Amino acid sequence: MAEPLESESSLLVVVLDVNAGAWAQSALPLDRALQQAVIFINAYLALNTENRLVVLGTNAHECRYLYPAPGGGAPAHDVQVYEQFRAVDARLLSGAAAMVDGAASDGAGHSLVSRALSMALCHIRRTLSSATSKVWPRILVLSAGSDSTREYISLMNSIFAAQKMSVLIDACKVVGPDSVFLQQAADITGGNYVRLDAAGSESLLQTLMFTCLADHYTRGILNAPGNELIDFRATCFCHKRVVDIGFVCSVCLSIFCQMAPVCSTCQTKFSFKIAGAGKGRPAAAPAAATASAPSAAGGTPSAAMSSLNLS
Amino acid sequence: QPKTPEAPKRHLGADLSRHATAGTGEGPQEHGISIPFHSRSHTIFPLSVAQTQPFLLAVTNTGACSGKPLLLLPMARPANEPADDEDYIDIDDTETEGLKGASGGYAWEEEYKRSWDVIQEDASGSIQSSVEGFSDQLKRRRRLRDTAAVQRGIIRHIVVVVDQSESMAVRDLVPSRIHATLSLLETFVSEFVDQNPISQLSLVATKDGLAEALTELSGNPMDHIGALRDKSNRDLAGEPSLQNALELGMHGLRRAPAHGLREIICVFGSLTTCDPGDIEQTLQALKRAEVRVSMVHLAAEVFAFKRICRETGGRFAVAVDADNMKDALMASVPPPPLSASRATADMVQMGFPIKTSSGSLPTPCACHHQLTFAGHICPRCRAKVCSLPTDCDVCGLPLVSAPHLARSYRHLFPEENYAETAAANVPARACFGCGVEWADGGKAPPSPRNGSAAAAPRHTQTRYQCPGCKQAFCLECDIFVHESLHNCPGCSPPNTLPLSSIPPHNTMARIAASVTVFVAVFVVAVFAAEGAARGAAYYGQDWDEQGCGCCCEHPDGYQQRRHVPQITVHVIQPPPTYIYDVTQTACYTEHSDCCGCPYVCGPTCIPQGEVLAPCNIGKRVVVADNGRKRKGC
Repeated sequence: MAEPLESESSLLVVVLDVNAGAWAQSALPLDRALQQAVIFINAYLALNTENRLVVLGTNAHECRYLYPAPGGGAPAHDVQVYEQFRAVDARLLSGAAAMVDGAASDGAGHSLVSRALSMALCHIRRTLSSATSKVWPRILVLSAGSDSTREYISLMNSIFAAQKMSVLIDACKVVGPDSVFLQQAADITGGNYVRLDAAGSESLLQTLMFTCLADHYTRGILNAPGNELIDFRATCFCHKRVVDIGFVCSVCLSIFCQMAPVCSTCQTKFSFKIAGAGKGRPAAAPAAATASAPSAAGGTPSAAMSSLNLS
Repeated sequence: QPKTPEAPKRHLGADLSRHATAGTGEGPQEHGISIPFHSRSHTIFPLSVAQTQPFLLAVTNTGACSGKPLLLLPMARPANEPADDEDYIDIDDTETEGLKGASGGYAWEEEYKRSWDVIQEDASGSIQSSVEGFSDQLKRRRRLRDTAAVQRGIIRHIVVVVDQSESMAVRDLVPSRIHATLSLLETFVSEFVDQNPISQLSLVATKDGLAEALTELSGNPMDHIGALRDKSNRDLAGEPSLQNALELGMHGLRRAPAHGLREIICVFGSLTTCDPGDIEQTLQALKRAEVRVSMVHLAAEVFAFKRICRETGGRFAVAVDADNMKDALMASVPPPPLSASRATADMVQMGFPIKTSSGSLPTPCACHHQLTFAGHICPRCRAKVCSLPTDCDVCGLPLVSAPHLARSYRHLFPEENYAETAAANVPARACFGCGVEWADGGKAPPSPRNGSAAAAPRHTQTRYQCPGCKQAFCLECDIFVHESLHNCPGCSPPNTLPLSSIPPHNTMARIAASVTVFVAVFVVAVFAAEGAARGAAYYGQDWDEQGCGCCCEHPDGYQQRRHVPQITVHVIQPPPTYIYDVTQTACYTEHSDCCGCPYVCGPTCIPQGEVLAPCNIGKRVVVADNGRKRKGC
C-alpha cells in the first residue's frame, strides 16, 4: 500500500456487546472493560484529527447506535480535541448503561452480532459515499456472547459485503471460548482475531492497542498475530460431523457425509450418475455398461448407464 | 435498437444514413435496422392524403438510382413496439398497419420530444435538484429485482464468446466497441467469480470466420482477466463465426458435469456470421446438450441470433449504450432459476481442505509447482494447492471451503424487497440501517424538494419499509442491502431458519479443530512427503519422454497433460500400488477420441471412452470404447 496522504482518515465502527448474561460470567466486569475500551477509543481519535468513530451497542434483543446518538449531539467528525473526549466517553458510557439496564434478562448469551455488522456496513457505505476525502473503514467487534447458528447466513453475507467494500473486521473475544464465526470474519476480511483468556482479562486495553489500533497502512508493516490454522471445513448436515470430503447437493448446497438418494433439505431426488470417483457409489457392474455408446458429455465420466432413480 | 428519429427534417439533403430503411422483401432479415443509403434497393411506401405530414425527401446517389428523388421515410418501427416480437417480421411492405405508433399516427407524426424541458431550474438557478432527481430515479429502477426463492443453477459453467470482427471497431461505444467490451468483461468476470464461487468460466474469441479459445474452463479470475487485458485481443479481423464459437464452447463445456448449468454468453457486434455449415445443426446440438445461449448484441437485433437464444432458453438483449450493455451483461451474473425440464440434480463430491503452514520448510504446490509455505491440503490425494476454490490438480476433486458455499446461500434465502411508504407512517427518527436522521425531521414536505444538503438522505419524503421487520430505511440503504449486503438489518438474524439443520461450525468443529491442530503437525509432515513422492511419480522429470502416444500427440495438436515442472522432486520409493490406482487419483482429461493408446499410461490419461465403474478391487478401471472393452490398470 502506498503511504497514506495527510487528508486520509479512518472510520472505526466499534460493536460493543453488552449482553448482560455473557458478561456476568466474565472475570472482567463490564464497567472496567468499558473504561478500557473508552481509553482505546480515545487513543484512536487522537491518532488523526479526521478520524471518525461510530459505536454500536448490541445485546440479545436489540442493536442501537450509541455514538453518534440519535437525537442530537455533535457529529462524529467534530471530535478533534481533548475536551471532546469527555463528550464521547460520557455518551458512550451512559448509552451502554442504558442498554444494560433496559434489557430484560437474557440468559441465552447470544448477541445480535450480525445485525450490528449489517447496520455498521450500511453506515460505512453512507459515510463513504458522502465523504470528500478518502476514508479507510474498519470494524472492531468486542464480543462476549457465543455463536448462534441462526446467525450464520446473515453473518456470512455481512462478511462478504465487508470484503467487497474492503472493510477490515477485527474481533476481540473478551469472554468465553473462541468464536469460529468471528475467526472467519477476521480471516476473510483481513483483520485480526484475538481472544482474551481468563488470565489476561486485565490486559484488554493492551491487547486492543497492540492488535486493533493500527490503520490499514500500518497493518502491512506490523506482524500481527495470525491464525493460520483456521478450520474452514464444514460439518455435515446429518450428523454434525466435520467432513473432509463431503457430498454437496447441487440445488441447495447442503453438505452430507454420505451419498443419499434424496437431499434431506430440499427434497431433491438425485439421479445416480457417477460424477467422479468416490465412496459410497453402488459398485455397478460393467455389465450395465452394455448400454452404451459414449455419450456426448465426454470427459468427466458421467456414465451412460441408466440412472437409478430411487423415488 | 433501432434509432428512433428526431424531429422530422423538412429540408432536402438530410442526413440519410440514419433514416434509410432497406427492405428487400426477401424474407426475414435484420429487420428494422438502419442501413446506410448505399444499400441495394429502396422501398417506396405509398402515401395517403391524410398523411402528408413532414417526410423526408431525399436524393440518393447510389448507382442504380442516381439523381432520382425518392421518398425515404424514417424508421418504420413504432416507438413502443416490443423489439422481440418476432411475429412482426412483415415482408409485405405495402401494408402499413404495423408502422403506426401507439397513438395511431406514424412515428414522424408524433410530437417530437423536447428532452431539454425535463430539466428545470430551481429558484437559485441551479439544476442540481433535477440532476439529483434523475440519479434517484435510476436508483429506484434498480430496486426492483427478482427475489423469488426458487431453485437456481448454482453450479454453473459458462463460456463467454467475444466477437473480434471488424464491426467491433465502430466507435459508438467509447473508445471503441472492442475496448468497451473487454473492459466490461473484466468487471463481469470478477463479479461472476465473486457471486458464483463454485462455478467456472472460459473465454472464446471469434474472428476471421474462426473461433479460438482464449482461456480454459477455470474458476480463477486472474487467468481470464489476464487474457482480457492482453493487448493482442484488441486486434480485429474479418467476420465472426457464431457456429464455430458455439461449437468450440460446447466442446469446452463437455467437461462440465451434467448437474451443473451450462451456458454460453456472447457479446456480438456484427450483424453477420460466417459459418462453415448449417447453424441449425448447431442449434439442435445445443438443445441436446442443454446449453443455454444468451447474447448481448451491440448493434441491432438479428433474427438468427435471437432465435438461437430463445430456443435454448437464454436471453437476447440489444445494448443501446454502455450502461445498457452493462445491465444486460450483469443480468447474467446471478444464478438463473432452473427450468422444470432440467431434472438433473446430483450430489457433487467436494473436498474441504485444511489450511496449513508447513513451518520452516517449504513444500511444492501442485498448481504452480513452486515452493510455498502455506497452502491447502487436498483431503483425497494430499496434494497442496494454493488457493480455493479450485479443482485439485492431481485428483480432480473440487476443493472449496465452507464460506464459498455460504456465498451462494443468499440465493436460497433472498431478502425481501422493501416497500415504499410515506414518511408519516414511520415513527422512527432515523434510518434503521445507517442511523442518519431524516432530513425533514419526519414530516413529509408538501412540495417538491429543493436542493437538499448532501448529508441528508435524498428523497426524504419516502421511506422504504421492510415487510418483515417493519423498519424504515432510506433509499441508499435500500440499494445497498439489496445489491451488496443481501440481508436486512432488521430481519437478521432470522428467528427460524427455513432449513432444518443449518451449518456447521458448532462445538464439534471447534473440538475437532483443536484436535486436528495437534494431529496435523505430525500428519502433515508425513503426508507432505508422501504426497510429494506420489506427485513425483506423475510429474517425474522425464514425463514427456515416457508419455504415451495419446497424451503427447493428440490429433488435434493440443496437449492436455500436465505441465512439466521446473523442479525435480526425487522419488524415494513410490508405493507401486498407488501409481496406477486411477480410482483414487485419476484426473480424466477430455480427449475422448484419442488415437488408440493401448494402455492406460498414467493416472491422467484414459484412452478412448468413458470410465464406467471401478472394479471391485479398486485398482482397475473398466473403460468402454465404442463397443470395445478395454481394461486399464
